[in-house]
Amino acid sequence: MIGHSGVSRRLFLNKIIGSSALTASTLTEVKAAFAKSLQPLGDSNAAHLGGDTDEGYWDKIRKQFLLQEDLAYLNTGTLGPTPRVVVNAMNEYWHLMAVNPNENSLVLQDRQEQIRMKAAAFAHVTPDEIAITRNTTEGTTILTHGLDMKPGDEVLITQYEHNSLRETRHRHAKRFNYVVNEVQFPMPCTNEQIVKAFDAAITPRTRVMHFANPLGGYGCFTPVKELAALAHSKKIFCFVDGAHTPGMVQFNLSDWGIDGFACNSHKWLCGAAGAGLLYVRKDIQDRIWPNIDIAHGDPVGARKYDQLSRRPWPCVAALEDILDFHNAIGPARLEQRTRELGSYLRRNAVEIPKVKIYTPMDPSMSCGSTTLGIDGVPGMRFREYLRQKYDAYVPAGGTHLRISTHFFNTFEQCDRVLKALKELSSGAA
Amino acid sequence: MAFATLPAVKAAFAKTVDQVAKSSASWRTDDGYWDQIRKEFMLEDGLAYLNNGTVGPTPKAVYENLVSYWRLMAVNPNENSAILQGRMDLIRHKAAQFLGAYPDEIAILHNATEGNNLVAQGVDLKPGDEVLIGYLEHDSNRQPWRLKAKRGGIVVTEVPIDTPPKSPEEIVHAFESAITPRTRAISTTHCDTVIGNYSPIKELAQLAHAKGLFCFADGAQVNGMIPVNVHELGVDTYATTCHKWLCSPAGTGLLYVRRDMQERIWPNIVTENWWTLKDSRKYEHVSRRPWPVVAALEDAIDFQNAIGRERIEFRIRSLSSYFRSQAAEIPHVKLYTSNDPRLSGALTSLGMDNVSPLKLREYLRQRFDVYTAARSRGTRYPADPHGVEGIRISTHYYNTFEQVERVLQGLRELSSGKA
Repeated sequence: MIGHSGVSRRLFLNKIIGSSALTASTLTEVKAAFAKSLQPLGDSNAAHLGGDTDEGYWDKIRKQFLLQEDLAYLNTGTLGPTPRVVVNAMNEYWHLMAVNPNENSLVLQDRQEQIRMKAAAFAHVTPDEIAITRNTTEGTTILTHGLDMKPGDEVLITQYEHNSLRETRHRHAKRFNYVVNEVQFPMPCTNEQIVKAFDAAITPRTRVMHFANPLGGYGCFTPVKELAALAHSKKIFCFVDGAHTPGMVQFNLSDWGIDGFACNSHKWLCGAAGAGLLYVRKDIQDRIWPNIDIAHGDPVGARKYDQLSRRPWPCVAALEDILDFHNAIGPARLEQRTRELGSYLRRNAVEIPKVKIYTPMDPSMSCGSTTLGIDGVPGMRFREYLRQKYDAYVPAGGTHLRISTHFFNTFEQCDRVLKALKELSSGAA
Repeated sequence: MAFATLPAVKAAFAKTVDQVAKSSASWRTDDGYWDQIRKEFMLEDGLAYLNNGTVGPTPKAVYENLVSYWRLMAVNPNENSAILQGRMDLIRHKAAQFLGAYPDEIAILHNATEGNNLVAQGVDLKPGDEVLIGYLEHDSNRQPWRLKAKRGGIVVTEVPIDTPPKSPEEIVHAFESAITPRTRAISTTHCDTVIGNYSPIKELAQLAHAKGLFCFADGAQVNGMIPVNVHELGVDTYATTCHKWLCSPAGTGLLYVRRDMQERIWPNIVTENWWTLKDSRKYEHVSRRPWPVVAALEDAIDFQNAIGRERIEFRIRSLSSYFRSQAAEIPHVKLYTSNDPRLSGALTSLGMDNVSPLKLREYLRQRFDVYTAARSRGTRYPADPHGVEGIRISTHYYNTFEQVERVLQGLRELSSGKA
């Protein structure tokens, strides 16, 4: 094999003789500086804990981001902003790679198991069940391509899946001659409606249930534990698309009882684009083949799913930093803040004439993502009005728009959206 | 805090590129031009980085752009990401030109491994169908076929080739002799990772097509080392990486899929609306990715084009053939790489019969501040009958004759027992 000495002597030398004008920090130094910058985030002063005010603690947190002054960035559901400390750490990693490509790449690669452990703890599963992928689509693809299907087998998804999952399933079904059925229920809906719809759609040929939690377009959480129990009672695999889960809410995959879960780190987790996670329950790993393979030998557990060869290691290393960042604030505190903002927006928007909210108002089924529309006002008009008049950014949509309110957003920004809704609804705009 | 816009970043970059492109009469030596080029890199002072064959250093100007792109993403994630994504077709054009393909035959992926896997998973083969690969195939082009063998019942045959082969014809003959009525494809490296031997890919493609087989090539060690023209090679697919010889940041690769092959190779990881893409773009529609890294690929291509590919090839051939001719004179040194320019490029693999690979590597590292890759027998290439063991030296254009001399001095000291 192509061997290496395992230690970067250059880093050591560099410290002694200060060799270059472009002296690079060592990874240890970058990590120490990073840890120090996280300390203030752990503020446990009771007066600062509330998610219901922009003052104090959350004001401080907002300043951790590089977001343009005044921009109300309300599209974390597509792509979250990366905090300054994480961007800086990642750029240091890129610097290390440019200064001594192979030895420093190895130093970064060596963090992989540490990252796997942190990610596993974050999702409440074992490290052997976690693969470090590149994004949700990659994880979903592994779950889809990896399970051998027979002609005539059936897979259930919902009518609200992201097209990435839907089209991956349909393409695979076309190639291997099986059937994909889309379960129907209204939006907003109740937990009971979702379970009933799945129950009614199951046939003796159903092999897999595969759905998002939350359903990304609507911010609607599903009764995932009940769905997993239903699936397993009929010997059906239960996979979840978790693109919008980590960073928005606390979650426990063991408790959910599902078989597979794919997510990214660049949406609600606010990591650098290009790193994601895949969970494959230990018991079914022998049923799921890897998709990309370069491994010589047999990697242990879910590691067989992340044998991707050379990749942007600085982005992977930054995944650890963003997990640390979240843990420093605290997932419970984050969820509370995000929930307060989302429900503030929803309970005020629902009072505005002609505004229709598609996200369930039930707090057990919603959090930081709100999908709404105004009767008679095209989504694109609403979007441009927000962008031009209120410096608020939301993604494009048809009749309705998705508004993401994350912990770095503010009540003042929610008020901007509410003002725009009122103006457009009343015809004052 | 003020942030540069993309046009501002690009304007500053263009100035550096102009500097790099300035021609000099003395560009064939270490003096002048190449000294200046070397300073465009951030490599640690004194370090002779001779392992470009694993991962290349990113030039300072490209690194600085990359950092600016990541900042743009943090400042206004979606709108600035869209601006970077908006460069994709332009990058594809440049990459296509670089490889001698049409833009609609090029997909921008993460690395060569992804390209090789995509081809192996994407082509429909029946149980019992046979694929021929070479003895010194990288795991990147070995394991994908083995996976397909385990799962789909195909047969993978490793074709024996001498180390080094005496001629390109010997390689063609080896593959030709291995073809059976069940053979469906030849999938092999253009330049192998172990001894840096070039395969006569054009002739192999002709052989494959004459027998009705596919010809898939792994060009991980070629792109950015010597000019490639995939149309001239006539292969069906060509997978390569950009973070080795092209010196792009880690995490970019290219896949060429010939126009009339695109109907026969399924895409792998693709997000919504992939089916609206009728050409090679369906292979790269991989959803959210580190767009700054992709955007920096354009800069890496611009940087190399500014130096000039003919100039780069001349430089790397000067360095490596000088090194090989000198090393061949040293007792106890066994060269695994041919000095025949048809069979070699910038990689040189050698061993010493009186020094273990790890000792050799560490001696160079500790005493001469030289970084090379070491390889022990049989750990990774179990089918390699020739037992290549030693070190691999990559000499790219930013390396110098002085660095080559350091390696030679180390070899002489170890050879004479003075070390």
